[in-house]
Amino acid sequence: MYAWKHWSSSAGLAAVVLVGMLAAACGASNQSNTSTTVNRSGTITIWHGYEGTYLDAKKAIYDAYMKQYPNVTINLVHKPNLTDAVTAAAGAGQGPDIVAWVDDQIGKWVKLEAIKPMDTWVSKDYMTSQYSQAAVDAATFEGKTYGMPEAVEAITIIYNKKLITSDQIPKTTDDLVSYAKSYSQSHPGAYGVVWNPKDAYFQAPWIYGSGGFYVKADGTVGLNTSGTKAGFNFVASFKGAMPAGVDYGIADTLFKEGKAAMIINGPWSVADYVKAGVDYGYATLPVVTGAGKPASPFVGVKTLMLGAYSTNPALAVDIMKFFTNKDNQTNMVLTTREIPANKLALADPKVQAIPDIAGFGAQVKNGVPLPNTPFMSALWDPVAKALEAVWTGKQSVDAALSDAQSAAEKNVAQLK
Amino acid sequence: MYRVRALTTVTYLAPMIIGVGLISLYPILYNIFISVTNQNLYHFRHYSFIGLTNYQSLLKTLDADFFIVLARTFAFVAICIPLFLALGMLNALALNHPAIRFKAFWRVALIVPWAVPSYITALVWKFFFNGEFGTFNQLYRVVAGPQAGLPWLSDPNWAFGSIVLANLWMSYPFFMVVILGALQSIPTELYEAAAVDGASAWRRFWAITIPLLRPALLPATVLSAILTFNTLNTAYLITTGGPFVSAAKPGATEFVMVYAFREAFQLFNFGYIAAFAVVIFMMLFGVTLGSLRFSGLVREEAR
Repeated sequence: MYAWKHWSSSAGLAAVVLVGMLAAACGASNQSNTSTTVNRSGTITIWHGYEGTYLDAKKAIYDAYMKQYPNVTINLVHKPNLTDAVTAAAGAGQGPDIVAWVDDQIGKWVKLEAIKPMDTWVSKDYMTSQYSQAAVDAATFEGKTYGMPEAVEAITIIYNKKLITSDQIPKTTDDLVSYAKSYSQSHPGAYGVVWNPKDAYFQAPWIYGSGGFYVKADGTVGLNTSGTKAGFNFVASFKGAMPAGVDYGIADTLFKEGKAAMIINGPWSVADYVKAGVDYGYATLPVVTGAGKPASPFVGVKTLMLGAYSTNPALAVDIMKFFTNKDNQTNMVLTTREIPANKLALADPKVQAIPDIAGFGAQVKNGVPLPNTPFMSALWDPVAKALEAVWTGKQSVDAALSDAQSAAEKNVAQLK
Repeated sequence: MYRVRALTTVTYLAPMIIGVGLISLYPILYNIFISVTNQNLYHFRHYSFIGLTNYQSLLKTLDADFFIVLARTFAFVAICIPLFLALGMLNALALNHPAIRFKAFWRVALIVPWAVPSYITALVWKFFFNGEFGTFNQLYRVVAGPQAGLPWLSDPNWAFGSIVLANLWMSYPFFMVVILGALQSIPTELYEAAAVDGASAWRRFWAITIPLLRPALLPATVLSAILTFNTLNTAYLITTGGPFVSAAKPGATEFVMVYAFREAFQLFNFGYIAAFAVVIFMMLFGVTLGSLRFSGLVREEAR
């Protein structure tokens, strides 16, 4: 191990010397390009989870960077189990220059020393001038910037235009329940609305919209609050209006087969609905009747984070800036149909003309940031178990949440 | 007499010693080392020695929940292994029968369940078991009427049985292959001689086949019992350990590894989970030694 490190650092030194000599040799003809202090040469490794059309559109931007700066090589490495890989590499004191993932891992990775702050190379002013506030917050942990936001995502109502018209879409949660109940009565074997009712992420709109919460940055668990209870009661009221065994896959299949008028799902699902030939539209989640506030889904932010063991952080940050700038993001989302975190790109008329972006973009405005505190990992499991116990009728909402509160508090205590 | 220099001996043994050291010994020792440190989310790179603290807190949290999980896991192993053996034996005997044609085809077809990655198999079974749309209940409805349905995954006992079924499908081919190999190594003269002496097929099976299979079956059984005890994929992917009746109680298919994964891995308590692993390791080691000795005694008596 030590020998390997020793060898690689001396190889690195040799490379730096070599590049220095090359730079000196070229220097005479390249005097004008001194406006920036970034030395644009070297190799940057990016670990990512991009797939399909997403990958092609993103790769094109990195290729453009390499074309502009031929001394830079960008290695895009697809990691199937990225979160595990990053954790394992950090344990060995290794890792890529850039990790492209969702912001909810930031708190954990900071504590595991897998990513490092980049305030030296990018100012807070730059961040707020480029990206939407929710995205800047998502990339900030304990006051420091750990990444540059790329795209945001949240769940919203996607409806089948053949089964429901836009003016029929319920505007309040009470209306949504009664619509779903009457729909399944008048259309046996079909459903008014479906989603995964046993997962914490998918219930966030109702819980946060009712004034409840899962966990705060200081570790306070909010499962026994009246808002969280109201959210749980709302979910439980769909028993009988959704299939008893419904989960993510079943909800998805029902919508694709035209057996559900509406689904609550995220941008990642849309390509499959296009493929399945569903004529779909978007609507924002309804207003929570008791609270009078719109339902607030979690807003996840895909973020390029700076790896803790990057040996060339200035170059890595320069690539992030290039990748997330207005022009590149505008071009990218025309293909990927993601909602850009770059607010200048989002405001572009070409981008606003894309229905998917306008649809999800409207929903994101009502959302709350997906918590990036490591305490959130103490919550997913107890909440899921409590939802299952309520959904299957094994426990009342009060009993389920009281058990989940103590289980989550026990978990949080382990993380403190 | 040859005289072998120590250096020569060591040189010949070196590849194996290095292999065993790197693959088996080092991870075990590293795990034991981590179990006496405070490595966790906040001390990931810079952890320190804390003695037996993890073991103490482990003993403190070894409450009723853990023993329910442990008892359920042993029950799971005790139910699975005889089923693996029986089904594996049945298939191997059938494949070994001279009347069976296209043996190569059947052998490949029957090994497929074992060769398919377990997470794919688990997801397929998850669909089979689904209450509304699953294959099993759709078939059941043909017989029992449109409103009927069996609680494959929603009832705790049924869910336990469903996981046994999925696990059986994934694991019996291993026994089939082991038994088939062993069967083919039994000389046919033994059967012929026994037949000449007037032994029935039933008698030949118990007096020749079973005793000669034992040396192959014993290690396979122990190995498979350990793997079954350590089941994570099958249970986690099909039921995530559920069905759950409360966030404060383990689910009906929450076996030891699922429990460990939930309790400690999601919370990055590496030192604690390493201590947990050491305890489980010692437990399995004890049970394995015990069962080997027990079966050895049984064999001694049979002679």
